[in-house]
Amino acid sequence: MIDLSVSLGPLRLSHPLINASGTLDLFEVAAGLGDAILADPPVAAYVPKTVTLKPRPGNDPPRIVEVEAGMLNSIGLPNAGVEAFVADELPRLLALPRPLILNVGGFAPGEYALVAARLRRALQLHLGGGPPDGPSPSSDEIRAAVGGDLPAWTARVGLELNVSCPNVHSGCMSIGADPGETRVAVEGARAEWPGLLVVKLTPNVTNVVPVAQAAAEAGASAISLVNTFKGLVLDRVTLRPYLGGVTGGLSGPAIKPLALRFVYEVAAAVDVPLIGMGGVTSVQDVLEFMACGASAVAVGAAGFRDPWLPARLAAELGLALEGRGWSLSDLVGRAHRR
Amino acid sequence: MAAEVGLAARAHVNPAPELQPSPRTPPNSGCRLARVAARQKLGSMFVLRLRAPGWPGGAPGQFALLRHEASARFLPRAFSLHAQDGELVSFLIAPVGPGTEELAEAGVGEGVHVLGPLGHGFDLTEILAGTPRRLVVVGGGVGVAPFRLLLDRLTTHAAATLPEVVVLFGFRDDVQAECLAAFEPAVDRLRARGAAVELETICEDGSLGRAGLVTTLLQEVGLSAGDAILACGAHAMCQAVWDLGLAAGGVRAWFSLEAGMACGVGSCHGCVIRLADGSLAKVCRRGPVFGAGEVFGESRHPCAVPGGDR
Ligand SMILES: Cc1cc2nc3c(=O)[nH]c(=O)nc-3n(C[C@H](O)[C@H](O)[C@H](O)COP(=O)(O)OP(=O)(O)OC[C@H]3O[C@@H](n4cnc5c(N)ncnc54)[C@H](O)[C@@H]3O)c2cc1C
Ligand SMILES: Cc1cc2nc3c(=O)[nH]c(=O)nc-3n(C[C@H](O)[C@H](O)[C@H](O)COP(=O)(O)O)c2cc1C
Ligand code: FES
Repeated sequence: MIDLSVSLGPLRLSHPLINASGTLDLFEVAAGLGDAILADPPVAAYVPKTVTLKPRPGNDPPRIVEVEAGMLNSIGLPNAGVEAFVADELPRLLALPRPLILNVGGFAPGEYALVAARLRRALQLHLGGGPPDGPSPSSDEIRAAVGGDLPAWTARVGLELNVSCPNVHSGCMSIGADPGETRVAVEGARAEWPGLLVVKLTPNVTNVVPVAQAAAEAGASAISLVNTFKGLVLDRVTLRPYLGGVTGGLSGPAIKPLALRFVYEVAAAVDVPLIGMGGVTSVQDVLEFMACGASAVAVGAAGFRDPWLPARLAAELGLALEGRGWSLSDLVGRAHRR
Repeated sequence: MAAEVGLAARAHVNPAPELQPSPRTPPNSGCRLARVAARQKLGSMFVLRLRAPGWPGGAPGQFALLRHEASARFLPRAFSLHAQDGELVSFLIAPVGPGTEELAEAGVGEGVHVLGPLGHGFDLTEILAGTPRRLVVVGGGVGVAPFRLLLDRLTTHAAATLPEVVVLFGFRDDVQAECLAAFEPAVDRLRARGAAVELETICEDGSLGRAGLVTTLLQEVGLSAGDAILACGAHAMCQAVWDLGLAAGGVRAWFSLEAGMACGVGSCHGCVIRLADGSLAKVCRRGPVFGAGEVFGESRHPCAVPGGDR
């Protein structure tokens, strides 16, 4: 069998297929359909939904609507806040037999560092590697750590900065739309987080490359893209905005060609691994994102049809590579090679 | 080109295999590919019967997400369990848009993806434990769907322990009312067990006699303390039913509610409705069956539930 394993910073994934944040809640699926999904999660690494510094109720309903080849959502990052996350979510997340990529949102660039620091302290407590309430590592320590001398827990847990949610009224996406603010957010989080640091970019920009470069220069060890495209759906009858949050984020097959273009352009411009996403439903989509330069691929809204889809796509990726006689490195970045 | 070196380096392929599970098709997937066993048109609705290998069985009021294997739509659609028999599971469906119309055309043998059973249904143990005076079942339009399975479940209870069952269905017109054919055998079976069952139907356009709403029937039947209401239909109907329950006093009620859904399992936070206390709840996980008080409150002040209807 072909070796599908990939590394994202200190995280080792048995294959490239993960979930997109906010689209798979393993514990909710388990509560409804049984615990089997916890014993063998259908992803190589699990990405929980965005957590923010303070609790948030999320946006008013209706929050979702189907459109041609996709859907719009205006969920608005409901979550219990980082304190409740550390107390209630983290222990059961750490019991999963997969690496984790915790996803963090913020409403000002400085919030990312605060949440990252809180999560790091909690992980040091749970998994060892320094006093839980010790001081933040110095920038030299972080540099040394990123250079290879990492605490053991960083092999289990990475961090993804969501600077790209279109469904909140301040911060988040407006940070990710601005290279300067992205730099501040990433530098701040990097100073608190020695492990894998993924920055998740928004496609709602004229040119994503300067933002990607700012993220990489500020210490991002990987970039994920894309988050949803801001859109609008009207109520068919009243002809007023349908969603409670007025606008929403478009995802699904409708955005795949757009998302591929973003991955292709960023792959050519920065030197960190990419996690590609946007409309993945089939193994063909996985091949295309990887050919554009993605080292890993996230399944988002298509997982609503079947929470086990990422595992199936991983199996099909193995078969597709075998069929072509390729290794993963033959595939990744192929679209850029002549 | 300059980017090439970076791209090759970026593949980050591990030299050695990891001690992690190898990718494979998960054996425990809760998503099944079922086959259409039969499709029966009943007026403006139809019953879709699927053969779903390994179907674990669900409770009345629980639902499943269905998507035709050749669907042109992105998301699956939610339908209440209507009847089940081993690995055969049926749904009563009203074609109202592209997703339901695809299913209305599904031929015998064609594949339909089924995710379920999902959510929390009518908890008959809890409801009967309250020793209700009568079970008043109220269905509006395609909201009658879950009550076939409910009647079947009641049939398995000892007749002596069953209260009187009053079934009140409201339809738009006599064409919609043709779905009654899917309920009458279940009512007969329940009666044959010795239970007292009353079934009454009314149409908005008067095509089955007089014109009226299901609440017209409910007023005639007259609610009183000790009655338990089990209802499913448009949000406005549920609200009106609960207003009558509150007016009678001492009535308990459970409502199966709707909301636009994407995942049906609690992953997406898309299907929330606002409860009487102002909090938001996922219809797919906490519901779709809710206690009346949770949704509408215990006092007679109607509370708007945005997004709770379709
Ligand atoms: C728990 C649950 C159980 C259900 N049980 C049953 C059942 O047993 N039988 C049954 O027939 N149905 C049932 N339904 C309803 C069923 O899921 C819907 O009728 C179905 O999803 C419709 O899909 P469609 O593609 O045919 O229509 P769609 O075109 O998807 O329309 C469905 C609804 O979407 C909304 N909508 C979408 N876009 C817009 C827009 N731009 N403007 C305004 N409104 C919009 C509307 O409210 C519309 O009525 C149930 C729903 C839930 C949540
Ligand atoms: C319902 C829904 C909720 C989402 N929630 C989040 C979130 O909390 N954090 C985040 O970073 N991205 C969130 N996303 C964006 C997805 O992670 C992903 O970037 C996007 O949907 C594109 O992928 P897709 O087309 O495969 O869905 C959400 C998407 C959807 C559809
Ligand atoms: S439909 Fe996704 S949370 Fe209910």
